[in-house]
Amino acid sequence: MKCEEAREFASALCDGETIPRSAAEHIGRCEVCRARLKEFTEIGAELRRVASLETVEQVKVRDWQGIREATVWWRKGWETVRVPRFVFALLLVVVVALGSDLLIMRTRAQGQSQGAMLVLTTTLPDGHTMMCGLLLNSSKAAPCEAMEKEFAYALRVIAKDGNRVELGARIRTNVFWSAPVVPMDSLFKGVEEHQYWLELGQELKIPSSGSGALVVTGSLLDRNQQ
Amino acid sequence: MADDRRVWKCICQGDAHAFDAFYRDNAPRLQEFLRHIVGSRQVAEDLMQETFTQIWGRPNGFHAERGTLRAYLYGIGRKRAAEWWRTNGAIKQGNGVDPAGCSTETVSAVNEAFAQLPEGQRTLLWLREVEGQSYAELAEIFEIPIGTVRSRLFGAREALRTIWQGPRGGSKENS
Repeated sequence: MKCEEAREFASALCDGETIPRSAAEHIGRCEVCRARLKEFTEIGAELRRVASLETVEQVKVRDWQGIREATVWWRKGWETVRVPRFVFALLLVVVVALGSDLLIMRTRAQGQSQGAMLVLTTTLPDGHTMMCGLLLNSSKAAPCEAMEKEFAYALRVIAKDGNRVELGARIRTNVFWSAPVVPMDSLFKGVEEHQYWLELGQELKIPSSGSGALVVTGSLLDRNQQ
Repeated sequence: MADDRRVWKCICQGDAHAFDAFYRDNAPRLQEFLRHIVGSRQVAEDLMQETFTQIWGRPNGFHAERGTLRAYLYGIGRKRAAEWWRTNGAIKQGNGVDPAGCSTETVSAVNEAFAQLPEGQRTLLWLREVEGQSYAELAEIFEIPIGTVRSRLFGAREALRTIWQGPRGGSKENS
């Protein structure tokens, strides 16, 4: 046996482990391996000496009963839950999924917001009130479109100037009841757009042909400041 | 072994007195062991407390036929120390082990050399030399075969010897 092989057994020997006879014979007659065994033994003794000289600190007294009661409440709830566990697990999944969706929507909204949003409140001639939001700084933002009974309108932002916003408005009256099945775009085909300046916080009355006026008020919602 | 089974049964049944006795018997040594692994008294105390809290909160995984309760305890402590070392070791490395808690005369050359060993070797060597864990217990703690325990212990001793006695020079070897 060579020294390289015997060394590992010298280490085991100093731990009191049984080693092969050939290794024991080599260590017995090899001065270097015997010296290595001695060194290993000295290292161990020195480590134990160092450890014994260090003061073993007292540990904190703990209220284990209280800790158990505090830490296992949820487990008790789980064990005594009245609904089937897979339903409970499913509920958790749904909550997490909804939470993730909300997060994604919020992130997207923040990414697209580029600042302010115009919140429009519209009152139709028949007294119905509706609300919708328009992004101010996005030219591709969809217009506010709505239809109630025979009255339909589409509003879009053209420009903003200080405390007022220029709106493009298209209004159609006498809409047939079958109209909702057609896309809103086609509903306003051929309808002329009129421009109006809306003072924020004040009412704007947009007249329509024969059906009364569409009353619009607006306020700004600056999401970057929230 | 029978005593381990009895203690474990009490712990599983939520016997706070039995667990407190187990804690008092083992916590100081475990904390000392952890301090030598992570190099910080405060971190060692935190890890020790986490180890006991884990066992008390979720007593599972101990099998008396596979090893002693002490080996099981140290196994959990070692894993926590290794996790801590993975995330914080890089910061600590280079600073060496904080000798806090050791008086000047106890900080010997071997202690300094020991602090330079990699975390795994330090853990193994301390458990064997100071805590006196058997090869079987070490195999349980590290989840490795006994033969690997032997070779790793040899590697750790060689590394420590090289660091400790390096300046003195090596000795001749025959073949």
